[in-house]
Amino acid sequence: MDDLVKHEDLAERALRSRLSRRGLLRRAAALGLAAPVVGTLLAACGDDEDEATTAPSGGEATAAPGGSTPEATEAATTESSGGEATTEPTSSSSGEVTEATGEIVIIQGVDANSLDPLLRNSTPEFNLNLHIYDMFLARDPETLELRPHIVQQWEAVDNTTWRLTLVEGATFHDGTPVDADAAVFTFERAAKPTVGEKPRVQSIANQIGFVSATAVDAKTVEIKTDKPSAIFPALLTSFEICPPSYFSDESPENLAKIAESPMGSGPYKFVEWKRDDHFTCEANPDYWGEKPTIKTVTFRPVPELSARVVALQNDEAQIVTNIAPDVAPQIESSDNARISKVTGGRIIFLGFRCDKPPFDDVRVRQAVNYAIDFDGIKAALLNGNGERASTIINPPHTPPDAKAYPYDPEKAKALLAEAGVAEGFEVTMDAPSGRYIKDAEMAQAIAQNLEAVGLKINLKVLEWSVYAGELLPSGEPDEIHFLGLGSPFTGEQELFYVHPDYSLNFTRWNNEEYNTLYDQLTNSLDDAERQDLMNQLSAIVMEDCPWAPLWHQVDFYGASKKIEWEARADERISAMEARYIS
Amino acid sequence: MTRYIIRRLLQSFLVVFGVSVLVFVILFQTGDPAILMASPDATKEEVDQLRHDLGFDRPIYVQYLDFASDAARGDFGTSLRQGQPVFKLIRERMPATLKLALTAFVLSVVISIPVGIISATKRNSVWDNLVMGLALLGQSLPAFFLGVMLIFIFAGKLKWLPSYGQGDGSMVTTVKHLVLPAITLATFSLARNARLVRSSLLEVLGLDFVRTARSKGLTESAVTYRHALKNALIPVVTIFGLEFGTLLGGAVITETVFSWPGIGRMIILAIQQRDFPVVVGAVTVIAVIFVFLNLIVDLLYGVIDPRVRYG
Repeated sequence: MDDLVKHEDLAERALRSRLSRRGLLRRAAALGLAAPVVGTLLAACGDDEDEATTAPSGGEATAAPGGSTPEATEAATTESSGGEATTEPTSSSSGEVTEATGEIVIIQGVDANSLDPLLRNSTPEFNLNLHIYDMFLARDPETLELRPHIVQQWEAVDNTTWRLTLVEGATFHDGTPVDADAAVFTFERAAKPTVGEKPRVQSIANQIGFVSATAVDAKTVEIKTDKPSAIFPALLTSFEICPPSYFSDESPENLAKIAESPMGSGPYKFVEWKRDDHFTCEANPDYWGEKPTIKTVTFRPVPELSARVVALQNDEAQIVTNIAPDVAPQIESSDNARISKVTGGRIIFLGFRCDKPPFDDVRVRQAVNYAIDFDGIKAALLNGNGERASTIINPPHTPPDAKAYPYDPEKAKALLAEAGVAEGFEVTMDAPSGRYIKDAEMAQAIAQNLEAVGLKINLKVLEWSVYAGELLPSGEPDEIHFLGLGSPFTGEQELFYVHPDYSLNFTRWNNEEYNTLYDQLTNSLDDAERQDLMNQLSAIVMEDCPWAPLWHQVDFYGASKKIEWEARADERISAMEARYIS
Repeated sequence: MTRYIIRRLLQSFLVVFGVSVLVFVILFQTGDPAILMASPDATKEEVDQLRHDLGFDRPIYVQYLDFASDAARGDFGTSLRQGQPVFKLIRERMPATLKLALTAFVLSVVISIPVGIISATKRNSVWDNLVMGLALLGQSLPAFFLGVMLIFIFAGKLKWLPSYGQGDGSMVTTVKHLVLPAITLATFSLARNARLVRSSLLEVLGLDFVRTARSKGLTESAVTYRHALKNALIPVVTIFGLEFGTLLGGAVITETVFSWPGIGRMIILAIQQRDFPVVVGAVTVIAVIFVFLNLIVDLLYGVIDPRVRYG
C-alpha cells in the first residue's frame, strides 16, 4: 500500500491537483508554465496545461506572403534542423515497403485516464497517443532538435504570425484528409476553455496567446498570436492533429468515446483498450510517413517494479519504464535484457529561501554550492551515474560554456566566514522521500556535506504525498528545499523556473537584470539572439544562485536484447523507433 | 422468520446508508475537487465557476441527497478523470475482481477445512504442529511481500507462470495468470480459517453430546464427521460468508502487485486522483455486496441453527 501511495505518477497527479490553485500571473499562463507545473514536478512529460485565460478573438489573419521579417525567418530557420527551413519529409527517407510483422509489448507504471488530446496529463497517456495520433512536429531522438512531421515547413511571417505547411497525402484512419481545415479545427478546439463541460488540461492556445487559425490553402495554415511566441514550434511537438469528422460532435457520449477510443492519423490504429490491463494498436498500412515495421503494439500498465523486471527478463515485454538504478545491474546481467539509460529533462536542485537569512547573502548560497560533493554522492548512491548540473537549461539549448560548481569545501568555509555565518548556524532543509531517484538519501548526504563546512542542518524528510500535498502548496518551504522540475526542452521554460512569476518558485529570488533579460527572451524570435540571451540568463542563475543545481536525473529503461531501441531524454516511447534485430 | 428477515433487511439498508454517508463526508474533508480539477494557473473566479458548474458549492447534504437519488437508480455519475460513467467503470472491473476473489475463496475453503480437521483430530501431533506453524506464517506474511516473492520464484526463476496481468482471456492463460494472485490473496484467509476450523472442532469435540456419541460406541470418524463437524462448521460458515466480502474489497494490494485490473486497484487510483464519483460509487457498490452477502449468511445461519432466529 505504501508502495502504491508512493507511486510516482500518482503522487504527481496528487501534487498537480493540489498545486493547481496557486494563482498564476497572466504572463506565466501565456508562457505555458503549466508545462512546468504539471510536466515538471509532475511528469516532466512535456505536456502543458493551463486554463483558458485568453479567448480566441476570432480576428482574421491575412495571408501576407513575403511579409516575413528577417529575424522571424531566421528564427524559424535556425529552430529547424541544421539551419534549413525546409527539410526532407521523414517519409521519403526509406522507399522500400515491408509488411509490418510481430508484436512489441511496452510496460509503463500506470495506465492512462483519458486519451482526449486536450485532457491527457501524463507521460504514459502521451506515449499511447504518440502511436494513434500524429503530432504536428517531431523531435530528433538524440539531439531533440525539431524535425518536420505533419508540419513540413514552419516560418514566422511576422512577429505574431506563424505559417505552417502541412504534409501531402496524409489521411486520418477514417480516410478523411489531414489538411488545413483539420489543423484549423484542431487549434480552435484547443482554444476553447472546456472540452464539453470539463476544463481542458492541455493549453497550447494559452501558451502562445492564440488569436486565430486560418486556412490559406488546402495545405497551409496561418496562426496568429497576440505576442511573439518563439516556443510555438517546440510546443507543436506535443500537439496532436485531430480529425474533425471524429471530434466535432461534442455530446457527452462522443467525448467519452474520444477519451477511450482514440482515432487520429498516426502510424498505428487503435484496436482495444481494457483499462489497467492493456492498450493495443495495429500498424496502419496506409500511413503517410515511414511505414511501421512492427505490426502490433501493446502497452501494459504494471505498477510493481519486480513484476516489470521479471516480465522483461522472461521476454513478456520488450520495453519497460521506471527501472530503479539499483535493479539495473540485475537486468544487465540477464540473457534477454539490457538497460537503456539517458540523462533526462528533469533537474534536481536545492532551492534557497533568498528572503531569509542566511541565504539572503549570495556568498552563503555559493558556499552551499561549493560544499556539495556530488562525485561522492554519485559513487555512493547512483551507481556512478549522472553529473553535477552545469546549467538549468536542457538540450538542445544548453549553453556551450556552462560550468558546474566544483567541490571545494575550503572555499565554502571561506565564503561562510566572509558572510559572517557563525560555526553551527542552524538551517532547516526539506526533502521529499520516494519521488526522485534516491531523494532522501541524497538529501542526507548533502546535509553531511554542509555540516562538514560548519552549518548545522536540521533535515526534514517528508513522504512525497505530504511534501507535494502540504508543504509546497503552503508556499513556505524552509530555508533549503529539495525539488525536481522537468521541462519540455524549450530553454525558455526551464529559465522560467527561477522567475518570480513561476508558481513553484519558492526562492523569492528577484534579480532585476535576470528579469529584464528574460523579458527580452520572451519577446524575441531570433534564434541566435535567443540562444545568446539564454546563455547570459544561465550564467546569472549559476552566479547569483537561487538554487544549488544538483543533477539532471538519469532515466533507466529496460529493453529486450532482441530489439534496437534507445531511451529518449524527453521520455517518449514509440514503437516506430524500435526494430527487431533480425 | 419473516420478522427476522425484515429486521435484517432494515439493518442492511442502514449500513449501506451509513457507509455512503461516511465515504461522502470523509472524501469532502480531503480536498476541494474543483481546486483539484482546475488547471494550475486558473484564477479564483475560474475555480469558483468550475465549482459551481460541478455542483460542489452546494451544501454537502444536498449533494449527498442528489447522489443518493441518482445512485438508487443505478447512476453513480461520471468519473472526473476518465470521463466515463462510473457504473460502466465498475461493471468493467467487476469480472476480474470476482474471478480473483472466487478462486481465492475456493482455495481457502477447499484447503482450510480438511487441514483444520486433520489438525484438530490429530491434536498435538507433528501434523498439527506443522499445519499450525504454517498457518501462523501464512497469517503473518504481508501480501505485498508474499506476492513479490511468488513472482520472483515462479515467474522470475522457474519461469512457470506469468508475472502480471490476466492474460488474453482464454481458459488456459486465465488459469495461469490466476495462480499466483489467487494464492497470495487466499493465504491469509486460508491460514486463519484453518485455525478457526481447528479450534471450533476441538471445542465441539469436548462437548457432552460428543461424549455421549462416543459412549454409544460410534466409531471415531462417525463421531467426528457426522456429529461434531456439523456443529463445528456453524461459526465457520459465518466467517466464510464475510470472508468473501472481504476478498472482494480487500484485494487492493494483491491486485496492485500483480497488475490485476480489478475494482480494488481502481478505488486506490481514484482516491489518489481525488476522483470522487468513482470512489463513492465503487465503495458503495462494495458495501452493498458485502452487506448482501452478510445478509445471506445470517439467513442461512438462521436455517442451520434455529436458535439464532429467536435470539
